[in-house]
Amino acid sequence: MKLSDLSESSLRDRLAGEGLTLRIAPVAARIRSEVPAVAEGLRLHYADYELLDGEAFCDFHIRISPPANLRRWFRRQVRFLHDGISPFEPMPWEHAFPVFEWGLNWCMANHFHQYLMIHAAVIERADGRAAILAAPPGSGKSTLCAGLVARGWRLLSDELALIDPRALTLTPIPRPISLKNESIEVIRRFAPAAVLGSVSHDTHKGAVAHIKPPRESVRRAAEKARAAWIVFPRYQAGAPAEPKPFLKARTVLRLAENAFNYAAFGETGFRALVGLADACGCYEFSYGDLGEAVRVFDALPAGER
Amino acid sequence: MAADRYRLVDPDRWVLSPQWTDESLAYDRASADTHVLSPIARDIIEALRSAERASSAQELVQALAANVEDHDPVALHAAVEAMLLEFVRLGLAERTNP
Repeated sequence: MKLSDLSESSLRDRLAGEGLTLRIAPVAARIRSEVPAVAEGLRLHYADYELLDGEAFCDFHIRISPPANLRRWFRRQVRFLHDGISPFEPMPWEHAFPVFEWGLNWCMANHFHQYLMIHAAVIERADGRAAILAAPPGSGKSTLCAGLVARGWRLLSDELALIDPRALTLTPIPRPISLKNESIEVIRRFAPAAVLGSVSHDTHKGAVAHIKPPRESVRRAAEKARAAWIVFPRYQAGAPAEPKPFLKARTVLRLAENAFNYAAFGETGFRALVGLADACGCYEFSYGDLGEAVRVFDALPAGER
Repeated sequence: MAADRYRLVDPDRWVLSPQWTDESLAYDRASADTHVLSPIARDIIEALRSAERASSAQELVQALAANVEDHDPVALHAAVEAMLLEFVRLGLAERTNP
């Protein structure tokens, strides 16, 4: 049974009651919330995900709820709770769905240490070759990811590369793509068919909106991928879309900088990143036009080392 | 006076990446640090590792010269000596009694 099989009222009742248990690729999460924006966001963005039995084992027990103070009524806020503990300060009520998404990212980054985790988007070309787009926030990573997904690349993740440290495979976790500020309009123009949720204004990251992951990417969420390219993208107004080969040693260091848990893996983490860099074409990539960038990615040479 | 001889403090301490163009990496099992190696640093570590006994700078120059085309022996010797001193300073290599 999928989330889309639930009526709107059943979804709200479950969220407000015993909780909604979702299989989100490798994650099982039980979500509770009485906040309408959470129900609306889940209904739109997670429609194609499998519902689990309420008794199923869950990795994360999540609650999005108003704080137990006056902010329940005045200048309303929400807080994110994981196992009853709030890792963040409360945030404005109208940001409830982004708060859920950020909170789930936090849960993953702090608990899923069976994977070497890199802050990166991962997408796969139709020929089965995947690209890891590693970059700090504000680099244009998600915009590029959304553009490629709109042109048929499979979405594995917009946020986290989950790397098996020994097999070097990439485990998908195709969740909504988070767009910020100008990139929301860029993607609206570039991919009018993309399903874009409502815009949350004035978050600590500016305006934020999410794109629903394609149904096909969710359907194939159990299919691991292999990286063929590691790319460090950077949006730069007016820059030609140009992949520049990047030294493999420097690639390993940049991946380690963007990793959440490289140090925790010790030698295994080093060997994993070296193995990935050795097997992949490694590039720095600046772009100023999304269409041009997508054409470059569609033509990236296969099997380059 | 006999020339100084050098050996790695702990040859098993290092995990090396493949020898890539321009740079490679060494992972230090003792500190969990990752270091960037220039080609000459990499070659010296490998030569010290594979040598049966501590090596002099001159022996290392001879070992490395086989991999370097049209090398300037004086410049290569100076580069090897400088690198050995750096390794000693970092605690990666040590001098032994000749």
